[in-house]
Amino acid sequence: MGLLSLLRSMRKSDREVRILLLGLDNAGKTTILKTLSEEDITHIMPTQGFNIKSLVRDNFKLNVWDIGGQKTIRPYWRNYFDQTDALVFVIDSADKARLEESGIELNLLLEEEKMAGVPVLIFANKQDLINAATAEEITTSLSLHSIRGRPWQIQACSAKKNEGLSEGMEWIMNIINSKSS
Amino acid sequence: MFGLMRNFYRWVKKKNEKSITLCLLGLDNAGKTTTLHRIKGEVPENITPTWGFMSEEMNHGKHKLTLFDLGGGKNIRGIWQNYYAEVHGVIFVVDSAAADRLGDACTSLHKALTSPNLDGKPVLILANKQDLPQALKADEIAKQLKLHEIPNLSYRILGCSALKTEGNLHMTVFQGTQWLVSTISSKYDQLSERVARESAEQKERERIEQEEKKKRVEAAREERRRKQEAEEAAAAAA
Ligand SMILES: Nc1nc2c(ncn2[C@@H]2O[C@H](COP(=O)(O)OP(=O)(O)OP(=O)(O)O)[C@@H](O)[C@H]2O)c(=O)[nH]1
Ligand SMILES: Nc1nc2c(ncn2[C@@H]2O[C@H](COP(=O)(O)OP(=O)(O)OP(=O)(O)O)[C@@H](O)[C@H]2O)c(=O)[nH]1
Ligand SMILES: [Mg+2]
Ligand SMILES: [Mg+2]
Repeated sequence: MGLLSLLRSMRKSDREVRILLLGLDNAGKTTILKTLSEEDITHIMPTQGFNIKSLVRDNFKLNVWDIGGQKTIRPYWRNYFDQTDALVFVIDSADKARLEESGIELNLLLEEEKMAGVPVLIFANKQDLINAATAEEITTSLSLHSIRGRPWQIQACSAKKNEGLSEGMEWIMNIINSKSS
Repeated sequence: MFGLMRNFYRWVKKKNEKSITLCLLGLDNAGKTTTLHRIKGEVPENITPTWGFMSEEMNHGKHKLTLFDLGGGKNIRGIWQNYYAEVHGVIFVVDSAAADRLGDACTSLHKALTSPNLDGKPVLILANKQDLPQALKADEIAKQLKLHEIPNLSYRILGCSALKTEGNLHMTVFQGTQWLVSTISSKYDQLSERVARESAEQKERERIEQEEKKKRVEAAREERRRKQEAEEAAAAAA
């Protein structure tokens, strides 16, 4: 399911849905956004600011924001927190040395007042690489079990092979639909 | 005078209101999320496999009910134990039509119910999917789950269908929940004291874990920085 079919399956309502893609640098956020938009992924550079993908259908608007993850730009993440409907936190599953660092960044995000109650999908990306940590290892390493007050879901995926992305987006769609009903 | 009476009634009402937390356990595909929707009074639809956690709150008579829905897949089941401290009771869902998975269900159930933070807490077991022709009856499920071998077990097992309403097979979900809530309600003081104590212990364990993790991450960052500096120095010297 690309973004277009995601938009189609949203319940019709007069509103905007805002999804935020965050995660450490090199996690694959931009690759995920491009794959979901069915765009070319061969020449992706590290994101210095942000990318946004907007889709409109009838009175309904879907905005997906992809923000750069380098350490120096992480302090600017908070500028994008307002009115977030769902957070997608992306992890490079093959970068085992930085799994715990990912976890710390995620915890900081979830402690933000503006992020209170926002559902979070964790994409365990780059599953096509042989040394990729499994979703189970990532769950433990990030202590996802201590998350309360919001739904969370972990989804193994490969942005490169377009595997697992649609399952994750389907979860988000269900969550957003059930909230707006 | 009337003000006093009103306050008294309010006090009585508050005293009778109880916050009860339950968790749904069971293998993947058993029907936990479907059961959650049913208990909420919704028609279950568009349900996808759970690989994480979701919590729903609802009013149940005079009680406030919080339900935890967890993933049941083999690779996510490991998270269950982290929620045990916070719950007053358990709803364990079984796919009665999957005879080949009852051994696995039995192992998971025993492991859960003998863990220190669940031991002795009331359990509702739902022998789900009774609408399917190959479904085993609740008493057969009870046998295969070896319920009599679990010490301190306060339980009820009921056949039901969380999905289908034909023959009122979904009604037992409500009856079972009613039983579980009233069982918990009848020993609420004792149970909630235990929940408060064990949740605090659990929180403290998590806090310590988190502190240690922060230290490890800082050390790793420092190590990377040192390596980079050494490399830069070597490059400059060459
Ligand atoms: N093997 C593999 N490589 C991937 C996958 N997804 C992304 N990559 C690669 O990972 C690198 C980083 O991808 P980006 O999409 O730029 O990562 P980002 O999270 O946007 O990074 P920043 O913009 O710096 O925050 C690129 O070389 C991608 O080709 C994947 O699923 N598998
Ligand atoms: N026939 C029948 N199917 C059911 C019943 N309850 C659930 N199902 C189906 O069984 C499948 C799994 O249901 P879920 O509620 O997602 O199961 P779960 O226990 O939450 O599974 P995980 O989230 O993977 O742990 C879905 O296709 C449901 O429609 C039932 O009573 N009868
Ligand atoms: Mg990027
Ligand atoms: Mg489920």
